[in-house]
Amino acid sequence: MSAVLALAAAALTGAAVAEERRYAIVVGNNRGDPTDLPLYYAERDASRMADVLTSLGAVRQEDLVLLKGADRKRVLEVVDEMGRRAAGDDELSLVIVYYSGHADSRSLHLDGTQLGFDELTEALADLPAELRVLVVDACRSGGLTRVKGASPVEPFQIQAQDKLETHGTAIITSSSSGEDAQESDRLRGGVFTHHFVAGLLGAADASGDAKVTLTEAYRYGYAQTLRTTSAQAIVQHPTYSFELRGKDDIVLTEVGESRRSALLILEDAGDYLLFDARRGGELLTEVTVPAGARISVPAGQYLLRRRTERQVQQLVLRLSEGREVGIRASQLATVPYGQTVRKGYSDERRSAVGLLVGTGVGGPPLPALGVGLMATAGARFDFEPLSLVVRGRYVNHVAENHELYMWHDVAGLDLTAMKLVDLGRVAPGIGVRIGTDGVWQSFDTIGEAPPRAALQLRGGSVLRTEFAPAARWVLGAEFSVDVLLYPGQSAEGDPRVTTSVVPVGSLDLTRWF
Amino acid sequence: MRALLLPAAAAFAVLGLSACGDPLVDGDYRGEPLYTLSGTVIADLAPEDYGWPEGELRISIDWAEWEGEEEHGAYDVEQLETITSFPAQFDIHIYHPPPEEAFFESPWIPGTQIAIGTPLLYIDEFANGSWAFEDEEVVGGSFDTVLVYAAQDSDVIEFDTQLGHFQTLNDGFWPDQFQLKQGYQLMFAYSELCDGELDSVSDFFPAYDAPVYLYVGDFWSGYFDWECDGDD
Repeated sequence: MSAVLALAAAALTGAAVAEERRYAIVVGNNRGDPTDLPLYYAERDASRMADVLTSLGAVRQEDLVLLKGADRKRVLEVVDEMGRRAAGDDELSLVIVYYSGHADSRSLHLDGTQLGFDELTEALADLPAELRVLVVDACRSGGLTRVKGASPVEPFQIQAQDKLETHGTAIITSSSSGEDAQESDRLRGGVFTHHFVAGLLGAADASGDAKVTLTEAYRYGYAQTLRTTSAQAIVQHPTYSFELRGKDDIVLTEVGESRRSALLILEDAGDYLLFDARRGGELLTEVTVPAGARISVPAGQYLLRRRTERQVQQLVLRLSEGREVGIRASQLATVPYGQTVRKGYSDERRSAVGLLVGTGVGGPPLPALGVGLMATAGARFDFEPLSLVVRGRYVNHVAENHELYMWHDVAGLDLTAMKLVDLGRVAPGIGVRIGTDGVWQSFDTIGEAPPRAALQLRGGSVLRTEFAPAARWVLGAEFSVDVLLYPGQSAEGDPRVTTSVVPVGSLDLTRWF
Repeated sequence: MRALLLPAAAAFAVLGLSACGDPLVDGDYRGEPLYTLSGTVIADLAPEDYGWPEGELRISIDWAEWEGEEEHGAYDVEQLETITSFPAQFDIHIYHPPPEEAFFESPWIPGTQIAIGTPLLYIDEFANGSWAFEDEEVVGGSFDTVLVYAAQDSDVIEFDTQLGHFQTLNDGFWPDQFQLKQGYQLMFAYSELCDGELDSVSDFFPAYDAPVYLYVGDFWSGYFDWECDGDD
């Protein structure tokens, strides 16, 4: 595939965006057939595509029709209307048609109606345009949650060269035959559309000429979609069919072209995520770019996050209209290591492992015992949903009365499950703990007091606050209330299982590896 | 997180059943009793009718301190109990041996270090749980019973069973020999001790598990000849 694209790109020199009159029909349908599960982001995908086409793709606002929830009839009406308008132009014209929604192997599902591929491609073929680009983010079957499409019939294949007889046609689909196209809650959109749009914003500009061609956009969308879905049950392979006889590779967007936008120049290569700080941290785009990549984004305040295999960095920045802002990786602050896992910042690292040591004090586990000094050591495992700590613990209590001096030594293991809330470098949280201890009591007396040994069970709740002074170090302060079950004795001296409630305070230091 | 709660609770319950081993003791644990002295306090009047100074009526075991041939009035107080009415049953647990100063080698049990303690009643005027020999009033005690602690097992002691004291106090049962065992034992004492010397071995014999009676009133001991004048 890459060889074909390379040949196409080499033979063509790249036509400027401004040389053509561009029209776009952008269709998004969350609702398909009555049997289709509703989609969440198809119409949102359409809006994003419309935004990038009008801001960077040289499509005038009046030349773009955005349809959300339209039926078959309405779509065909718009195609027809667009054809009439293009016929009156003297300029070369380019028509871009984008669809996000349900489909099966034969048709698009449009709000309870169906538009056959044959019918669509024929309608497009009738358009008096020099170039046609059809981008379809849909699939033919759905077996998983909110997967686009619902009918397990024949593979969805669009054979552009058989259907269109015009000068140039390019068709891109979001998945191969037999594959589902997926939506992502994290990306808040269709996986393919998200990456394709990110590519159009500049991430796909492999040549560095500030122009994103159809080939570049497809290549980028293909690679990123494959990467995103490769860790999931369904791997998605976008496909293409380009028939651009005698035509240059189509420049879809020019980065930095829009005065409404700002240009973000990423001086270092890497995976970047850009969140809109004003919209509750909504992910605007996720891109994988080489050094010096230029990404066009609307003016605004953003959180830029860069992910590498070893760390996650981020920076809050404000981008003004028409401004260029260069960002180096060194300008970004490193996110505390555990936080990158707990907040799901890193695709590569789903867990973090650390070692911890600590000290603390424990309340008397039995009446008339003194406060105990505690030492802890253990391992910590953080995951996105929760944090686990496996810990060894030693506590020493003493007591003294007229008859003897007493040592109450406790050594045991416990497991803590915590949910931490990351607030910058501080992370408060709550958790539960369960453990078991060996307890040894020994006595210094001139009388008779044989040593005692017992096994006790310990469980309770944990309140914890962490502070990360450095990326791989965490200071923790913890207060817990432990409930102890141990063999005791009644006032009459009869053995019985006894319960105590013990407050414990501790400090610890964790090193992530 | 919630999915973990149920298994954790179940594990806790199961492991709770496995809480096992020796019964753990709290910080008030004094050790295992080496001896339990049980008995009754007997009085003619109610406590308030005696006109005692203010303070609790307590039981003490006082251990005579011996240095050479001198008898000194330094005493160590054992487990105490507060008496509020009469007659009063008591069980006094003793958790450690007598103070070292109380040990001596009795001429009638040669080769064995022993200590002899007398149960008594006193008013804890200082409210400190400790009898101040010179300053706190003794209001009663045992006339004929002492607590003996032997540092080691003694030789077997032969003695004359025909004496009147023996027949009277031991309710007709009279062994003709006995042996002190290492640790505490209760004994009847009818010898008069003066300057560390016993008048007669035969007036000092085992009480076995006989109850101890502590009498409220003018206190005298059948054991001590306080003034070395031949009277108790």
